[in-house]
Amino acid sequence: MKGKNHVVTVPQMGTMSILVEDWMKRLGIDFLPPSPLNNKMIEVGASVSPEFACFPLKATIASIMNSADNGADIALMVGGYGPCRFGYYGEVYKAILKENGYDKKIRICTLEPMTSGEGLLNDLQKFFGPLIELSSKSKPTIYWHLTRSFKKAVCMDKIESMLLSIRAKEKYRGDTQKKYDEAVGLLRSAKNDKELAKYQEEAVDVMNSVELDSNRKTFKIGVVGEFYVVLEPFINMNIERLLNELGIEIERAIYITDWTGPKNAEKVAGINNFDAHKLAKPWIDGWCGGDCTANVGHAIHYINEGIDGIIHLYPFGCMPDIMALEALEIITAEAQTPFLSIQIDEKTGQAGIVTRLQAFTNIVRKETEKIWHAI
Amino acid sequence: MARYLGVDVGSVSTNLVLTNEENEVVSSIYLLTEGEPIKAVQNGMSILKEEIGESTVINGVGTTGSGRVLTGHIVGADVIYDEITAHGLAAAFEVSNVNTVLEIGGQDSKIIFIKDRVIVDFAMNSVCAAGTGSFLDHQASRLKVPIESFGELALKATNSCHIAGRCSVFAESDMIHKQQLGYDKESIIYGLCQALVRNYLNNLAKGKKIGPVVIFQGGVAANAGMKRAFEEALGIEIIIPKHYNVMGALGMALYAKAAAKQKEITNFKGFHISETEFLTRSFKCKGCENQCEVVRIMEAGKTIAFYGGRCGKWETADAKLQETEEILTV
Repeated sequence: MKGKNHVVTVPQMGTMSILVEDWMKRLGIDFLPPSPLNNKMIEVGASVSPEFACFPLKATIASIMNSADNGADIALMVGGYGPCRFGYYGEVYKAILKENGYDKKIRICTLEPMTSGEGLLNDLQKFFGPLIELSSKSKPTIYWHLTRSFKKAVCMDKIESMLLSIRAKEKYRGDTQKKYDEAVGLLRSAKNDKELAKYQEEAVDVMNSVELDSNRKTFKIGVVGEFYVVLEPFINMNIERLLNELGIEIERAIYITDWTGPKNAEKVAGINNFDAHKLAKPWIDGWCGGDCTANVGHAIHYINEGIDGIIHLYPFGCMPDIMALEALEIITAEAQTPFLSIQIDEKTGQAGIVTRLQAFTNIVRKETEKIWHAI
Repeated sequence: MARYLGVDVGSVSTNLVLTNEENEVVSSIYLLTEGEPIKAVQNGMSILKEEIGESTVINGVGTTGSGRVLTGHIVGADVIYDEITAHGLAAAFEVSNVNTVLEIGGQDSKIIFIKDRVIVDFAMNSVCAAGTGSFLDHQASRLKVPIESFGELALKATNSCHIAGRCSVFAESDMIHKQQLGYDKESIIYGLCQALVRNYLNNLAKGKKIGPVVIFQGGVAANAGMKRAFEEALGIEIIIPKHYNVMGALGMALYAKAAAKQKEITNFKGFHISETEFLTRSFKCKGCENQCEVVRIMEAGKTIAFYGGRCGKWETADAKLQETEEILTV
C-alpha cells in the first residue's frame, strides 16, 4: 500500500482531523478531512449499526462511509486493548463495511496504542507498521512528525479552551465563534514550529480581541463525560454553545490532545488523568474502563476548586460512565454542587436538552433565590 | 393598579394567571391547547380582556411551557423561563416550606427539589409516556370513563389490582387481561393510578430523598386517585396547592413582576393581539446538510421572529430581519 495511491481519512471527532491532517501532510500521505456530521449521516450510521451499539460507533461508522463515498480508501483508527467497547470498534467497523459492500472501497487501518503488554518492540511495530507502509518513512521520522503535529493540536486546544470561556461574556452574539474560526485558520496554516509559535501568539490576540460585556455576571460549570460525546459538538447538540449563550463559562475535563496524548502529561486545562485517578480513589478504587475513574476525579477536582456546577455527558448504554454517574450523584449531593447528567443517543431531541440546560442554569444562578427580594 | 401576567403554553393545556402588586391571583384561566398554541393564547387573552376590561394595564408578562418561545413572541414577553424554574417558584411561593414538588403534566412529568425556597435539583422524564397524564387519558378513553371522573372512581376501589405499568403499551394489554379476569372497573382504575405513581417514582425519584413536605401539582393533581396512590407509596401526606393546574403560569407572573421592577417599560403588546393575525411558516434551512426546520412567525403579514435549527443562526438573525427576508425570497 504505497502512499501515492491512497487517500487517508479519520472519523469525525471535534478537531481531531486537523491534527491528523497535519501529520499526514508532513508524511506526504494524501488526506481527506471528514465532512461535518449531519442528521442524514447519523440516520445511515444508526441503520447499519447494531441497535445496542454505543452512539459514537454509529456516528463514526457514518463518517467513515461518507468519506469512502468522497474518495478516501483508508480510515485510520486508534485501537486499544479493552478500555471499553471502543477497543473493538475497528473490528465492528470492518464487519459493518463488509455487510454493506464498503469493504472494497475503504479499509480500516488500526494504530494500536502501546499498551498490549506484548513488549515495546511488538507495540511499536503495531503502531507504526501501517504508517511505514503508507509513507515509506522510518519510525523515528514518523514519530518526530507526530510530535510536531501534536504541538499544533495543543495550541488548537488552548484556543478552544479560550472559546469556551470568552463566548460566555461576548457582547455581540456570534462574535467569538467568528474570531475562533479565524484563529483556527491561522494555526492550521502553520507549516513549521517557527510559524506555529508566531501564529499562536496572533491567535491568542485574535481571541482576546472579542468585545466583552462587562455587565454580564458569568458562572462556571465543569463538563465531564465520555470523550466522544464531549468532544463532538454535533453529537452533544452543541451543549457548550448553548451554555455559553446562557452566560456560563465552561471548564472541560478533556480536549483532543488530552485524549490522544500520554495520560500523565500536562493537560490543556485542569489536572491530568493520573492525578484524577488519585482523587477518585475513595470512590472508585481501580479502573473500570473508559473514562469512568478519570471523570469522577475531574469532578472532585472541580468541586475542590469551588465550581458552580457540573454537567456529565454520556452516550446511551455507556457502561463506564453509568458507573461514574452513580458516584457523581453522591459526590455532588454531599458537596451541594448542582449536577446534571445527560444521556445522549440518536433519538435525543434538542428541545428536551434545552429545557434541562435552562433549568440547570437557573439553579446555578440561584434565580429563585433572587426573586424573593424582588416580589 | 399594577397587574402581572404569566402564560404557560403546554402540550395539553394553556394557562394564564394574572396577579396584582400583592402577588394575589386576580384571574386564572385554564384552556386546552388542542395543538393550536397561537389560537389558545389568543382565546385566553380575549377571555382575560372580558374579565378585567381592556383598560387594565399589564406591567409585565412572562411565558413558559413547551410553547414559551412562540408565545413570547406573540404576547411580547419580558421574561421567558423553562417549566421547571416556573413550577418550582410557584410551589415555593404557595407552600413556603416545601421540599419536593411532584408535577405531572400532559406529556411530561418532573420532580423538583427545593431547599429554603430555592430550587436545588430536578429530574424530568424524557422519552416515556408511561409516567405522564396522557397515559391516564389514553386508558380512560379505553375504559370509556371520562377523565374528569377518573379520580372519583379510583377512590371507590375495594380490591387491589396490580397493573404492569412499565410501558403504556404493555399496561394496556395487562389492563385488558385484568378485565378478562373479571376485575371491577374501579379497582382497575386505581391500579392504573398506582402503576403511574410507581413509574414516576422509579423513573424520576430514584435515589433521591423525597419530603417531608411534598406537594403535587399539574393537571393530573385533579385526580384524587393519584393523590391517594402517591400517599400510599410515599407514606406521607401530599399537599395539593390551590392553583395546582396553573402553577407554571403563576410562577411566570411572579417572575414578570420581578422583571418589571428592573425595566422601565414592558414588552407586552396589548390585548389587541387576540385579534391580530399570526401566522407561522416553517421552511427547511439550506445552510448545510442538516436541513433543520426553521419556524418563521408573522404578525399581520410582517415577520417578527425566526427560531429553530441546530446552529442558532436564525435566532441571531432576529436583529437583521430585513436581510434574512431577502435570503428567504431568493
